[in-house]
Amino acid sequence: MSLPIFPSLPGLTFTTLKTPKFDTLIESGANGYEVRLPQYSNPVWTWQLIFDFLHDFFWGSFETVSELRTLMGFFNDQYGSAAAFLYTDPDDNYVGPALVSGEPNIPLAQLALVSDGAGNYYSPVQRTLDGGGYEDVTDLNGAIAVYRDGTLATAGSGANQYALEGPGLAIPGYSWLGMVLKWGPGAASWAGTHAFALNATIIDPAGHIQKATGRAWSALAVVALGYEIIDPAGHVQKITTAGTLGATIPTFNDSGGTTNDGSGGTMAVWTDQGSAGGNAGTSGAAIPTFNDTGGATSDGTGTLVWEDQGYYAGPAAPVTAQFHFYFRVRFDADSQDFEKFAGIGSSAGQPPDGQGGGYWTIGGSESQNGAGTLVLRTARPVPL
Amino acid sequence: MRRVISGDGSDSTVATQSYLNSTDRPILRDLYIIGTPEDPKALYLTNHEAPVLYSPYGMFWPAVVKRAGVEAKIGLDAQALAITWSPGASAQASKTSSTSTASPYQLAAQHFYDNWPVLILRCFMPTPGDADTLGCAVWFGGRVQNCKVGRNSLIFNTKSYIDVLKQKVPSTVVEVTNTLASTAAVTPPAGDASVPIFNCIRPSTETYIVADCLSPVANKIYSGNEFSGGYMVFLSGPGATLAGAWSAIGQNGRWEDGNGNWHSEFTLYSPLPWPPTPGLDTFYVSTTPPLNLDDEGYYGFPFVPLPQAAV
Repeated sequence: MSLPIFPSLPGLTFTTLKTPKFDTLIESGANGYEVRLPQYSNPVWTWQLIFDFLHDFFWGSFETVSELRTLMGFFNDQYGSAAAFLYTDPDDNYVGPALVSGEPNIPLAQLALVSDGAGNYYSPVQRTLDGGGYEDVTDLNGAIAVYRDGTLATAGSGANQYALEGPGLAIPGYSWLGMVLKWGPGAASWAGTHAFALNATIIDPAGHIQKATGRAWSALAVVALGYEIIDPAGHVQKITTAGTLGATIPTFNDSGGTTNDGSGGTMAVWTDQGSAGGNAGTSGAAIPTFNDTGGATSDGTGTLVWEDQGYYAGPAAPVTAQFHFYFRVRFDADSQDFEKFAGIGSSAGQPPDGQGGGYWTIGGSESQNGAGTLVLRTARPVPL
Repeated sequence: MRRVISGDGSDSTVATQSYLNSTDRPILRDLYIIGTPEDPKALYLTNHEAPVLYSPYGMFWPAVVKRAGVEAKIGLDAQALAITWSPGASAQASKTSSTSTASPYQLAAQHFYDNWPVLILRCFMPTPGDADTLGCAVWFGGRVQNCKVGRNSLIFNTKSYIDVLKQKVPSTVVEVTNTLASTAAVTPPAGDASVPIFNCIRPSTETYIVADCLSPVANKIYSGNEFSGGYMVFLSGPGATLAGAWSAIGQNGRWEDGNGNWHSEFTLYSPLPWPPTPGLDTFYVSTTPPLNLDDEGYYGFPFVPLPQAAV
């Protein structure tokens, strides 16, 4: 659901009062000791705005809406204090830059990077005033640019991409009321009958990263017909005479010929199959059962062997971002004084009769009878 | 302190206690489950500012929810607790007259929530929103007695689960005493250095036991009614079916099996759960009550009068 945006009007003047507020239950003893129970960690902000003037006549065209009518209409559209809308604080609406001289801007543009313990990573969209505490951001104004250790990340659900979720998300041990970036897996999923490059990575169904390696020669192995390895020169060698390999690696024929391995009646023979082309091998038709305890998993009938790299360690940290944001707010009261202090004026002549005129104010220097200021206060996202 | 269960299901009471001891600003929140957890219509609410994941139950959503104070009472009076919930998004979405999509107000007006179980958990958060590390303690359990539709709110009037005990019972019954025996203290009969142990034989029943003495003197026949007012407590062992069961002894004497062999016989005040298995079930006899509050294995109601006095 998109929320309306508070209009930006030129008459906004000083002073502006901006107040963070918390709620703490305080129990104190006769001895002066106290226990304090904080009720929330994201502040409720309050802005007290003064509009020195609000024009109520037409600027150049009789089809435009005057400032007074824009603001008064906006107040009515929200039913006073009932509905939430978005407010751009002129002095506090940006986080960034994400990079300074190419380096991550920490901590001022940093987003936390946390795991749910099952290989999924999240970065809450937050802002910090002092580099210490962080405040959840519920509404972005435009796009967000996210960097993984200085490298621009893209939106999406693929490997190392992010998807924007919320507002409001909880994972084991964490919860946020604002927007959250959910990071995609650290690598693509396994694919059947696919040629994987050497050192390519996938993420297995258990959330472990598996690295593609080519099967290497191993001493004294008993090998069957069709058994394949990748030799030190990057060629695929295939057993064409089954037997037992020798104690030391032979010098392979990489010109399409054969290589004897071992000795005597159990000698095996390799036949060169040509260059592996930088590939580790081709996966089988069905997904193998991966070794997730740091071991290896053969895949298919060729040279492809997966090596467990452990749980996905998350996108490269630190994560930094730059974005504009809104505060989600409501009007603090159900009534609002608008005070007229000067007569008709217009750059395009008189307005039609009965459609306004003059200059108005909310608590400005000309105010004599109007009460107070225009007060906005934080609105939480819609509760259940 | 109430038992606290962390997100992984382990007992975190000690860790919670040390957390509370280490801070003067603990973060405490309430989690509410209204309905059975497996019911898709169950309400998972929290007064935290953001969604909270408590792994044993799942996700709790921020809501405008308040409760009255939870009383700590001893006795059989049910606690009453009012929970006030002002539905937000759940009342705003498009609604139909179908139960699955009806507004909470519609459902409440039709008494949909009556008798629903209610569970309130007190959550201890070492950092805001972390409900798993320390976890939660059960704060209140009960049922919705009625749900009142207020102006912009639903008021669930709940009664604690103890209301099921509010029924007429004999005036002398003040607690459950049919728990298994749990005391190591015994009193041997005069003249014996240890309590006598017997092995059940036929034709024992739930209330009438025929047995042979195994120790301290095999096949000893004790004087008539020497054990009257004492206790028979069954022992564990291979094939034993009544380990821990006990009963007060009304009378004891001797019984002749028709072959000229004499055995011990006992008549019990209260029946055993089932007849003993001849040759396998053994018991000892003592004048010390088989229940004692001070024993760690006692799971009865640990208040007045002392269970050893009650039996």
